[in-house]
Amino acid sequence: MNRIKITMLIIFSLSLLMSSLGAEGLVWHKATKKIKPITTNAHHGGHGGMSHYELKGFKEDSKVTVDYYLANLEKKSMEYPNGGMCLPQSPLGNYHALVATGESNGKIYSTTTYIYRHGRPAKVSPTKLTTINKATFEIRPIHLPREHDRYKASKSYNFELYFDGKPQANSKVAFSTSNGMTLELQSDAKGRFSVTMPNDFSEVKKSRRGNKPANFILTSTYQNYTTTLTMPYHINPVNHWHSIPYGILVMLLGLLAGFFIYRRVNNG
Amino acid sequence: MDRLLTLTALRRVSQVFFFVILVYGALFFTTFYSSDKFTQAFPSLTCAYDKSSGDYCALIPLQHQMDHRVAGLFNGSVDAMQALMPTVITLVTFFILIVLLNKAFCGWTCPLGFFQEMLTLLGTKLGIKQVKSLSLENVKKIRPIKWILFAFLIFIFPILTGLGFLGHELGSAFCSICPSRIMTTLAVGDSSQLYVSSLSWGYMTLSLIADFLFGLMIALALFVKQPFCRICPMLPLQSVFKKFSLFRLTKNGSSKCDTCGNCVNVCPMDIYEIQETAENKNITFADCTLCGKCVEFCPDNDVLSLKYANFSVFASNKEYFKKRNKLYKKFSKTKWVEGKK
Repeated sequence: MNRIKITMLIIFSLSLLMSSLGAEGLVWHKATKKIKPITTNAHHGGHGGMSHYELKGFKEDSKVTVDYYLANLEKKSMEYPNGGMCLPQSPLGNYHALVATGESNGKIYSTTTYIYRHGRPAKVSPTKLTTINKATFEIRPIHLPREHDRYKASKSYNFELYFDGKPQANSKVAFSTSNGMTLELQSDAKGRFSVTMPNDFSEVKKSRRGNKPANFILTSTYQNYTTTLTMPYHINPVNHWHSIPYGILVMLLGLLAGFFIYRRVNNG
Repeated sequence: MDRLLTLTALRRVSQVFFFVILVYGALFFTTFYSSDKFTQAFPSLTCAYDKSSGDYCALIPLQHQMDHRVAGLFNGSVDAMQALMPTVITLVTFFILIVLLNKAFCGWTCPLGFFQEMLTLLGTKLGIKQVKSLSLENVKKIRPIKWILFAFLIFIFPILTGLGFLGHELGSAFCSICPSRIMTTLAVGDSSQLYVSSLSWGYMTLSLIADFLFGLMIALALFVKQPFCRICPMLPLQSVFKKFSLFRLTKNGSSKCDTCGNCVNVCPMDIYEIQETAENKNITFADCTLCGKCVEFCPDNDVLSLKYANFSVFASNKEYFKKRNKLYKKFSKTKWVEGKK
């Protein structure tokens, strides 16, 4: 009976601990509702519109700091208000990084997301944004999708795990999506790992813009650090309304037409 | 070695260099995102499809700007500054490019032009009989096509799309059928652009045209010089600015021009007008790609010349002609299909 009580007590304590910051730690989530903007020193401008972000796993009594890295690597520290935050419009185009770091019961949580914004040229490569140290323990995309591109289902992408500015080799990384898919990955000797975005969209509308993206979350834990990277990924038209085999067939028909023209020309 | 140093050899080096930069540039130079920096700094170099390029085409931003900005001017949703400034930036950037390079952009840097030239070379090596020149009658029929494509696919359809009269698929109508989109993406191992879309009848039609045109272009390029270049809307866009360019083809006529015809025979775009007598005249025609072949194969001294800011960079001369002709006869085993003239 005592053993049952002790077990129950351990489970209760663990659940309290996890619920203080969520089982996965902190995770950025793009909010659908409008959130009141917060004031920062950022300049207003551009045409990217306001972006609303919430931290899943955030508890009011948690101590969380938010760093917003502009595309030119300028860092703006912000406070995270209850109920989510509204990023100020950026005058700069290209990727920006939003990093939150929290501490609870001796454990340190961090989460990163990259946001593409429109504006004037930042004159800084996004590679520099991904490679600067933004948190002690961090998952970095090796290549962020280029302008006009985005993370798409059925395509592979590479990431790397960094601890204290150095690659974190042979560590486990959990991959999950908001559509329910989970995978377990492992970083190699250089701290790198690859993941193919799952084609796990259940109800796909035949529409270029009618399908909302899902989010993928990469999570890794080392010592008392837990880090996540979350980004949206989209359906891939090739899985739905773009047929490559038919495309090849039509191209071959074009080749055939050229062959007939050649015969006609050759026969005068 | 000197025997092999020809204008065409230099042009090949330039084409290979630019093919690597424009198709794979982002993978080799500076960082993965070097092309993103190009894109942001020079809107006229944007290409939305090849994810590894530092690409070259001004036509996609123009279409987008017509669709998303200029159309707004007609229905009053944006002010004149917002509507026109992006287009002005694109055109000014393109203007600078043309002032510096003029149509050498096509003959010396364009990856699709290079791809077609390589196919013609392959066709020659495979023993496929080559069409020496299209007839003047056919050339005259083909020439207006590029202006029609330029007007409708780059400007009119995107503006009508922006105003809501046409479906979204026609917002970037030219890119939807452009063979360069398929060629450059295939060149970096991405087959996702060679598709047939079943999204709507409009998308399906455009994708069918694109794939068919790509196949047809490959087949035609095996025996006809530069088949797609003849209808490429980039030529009209360049023609608008070509008078301001520093680089040009000039002619100071000769009495032998009527009987020789070498320049027309070697011209990849079949510009018959080169043969006409001219006195110190800029003859950079709308179809000219400034490849310089006419200059190479002109047997008279200083009749044809490539000039940069009035300085002669390369002029025709007898000695070079002899050398070039000798090389041509040595290496070229071309079988010809005789075209009508």
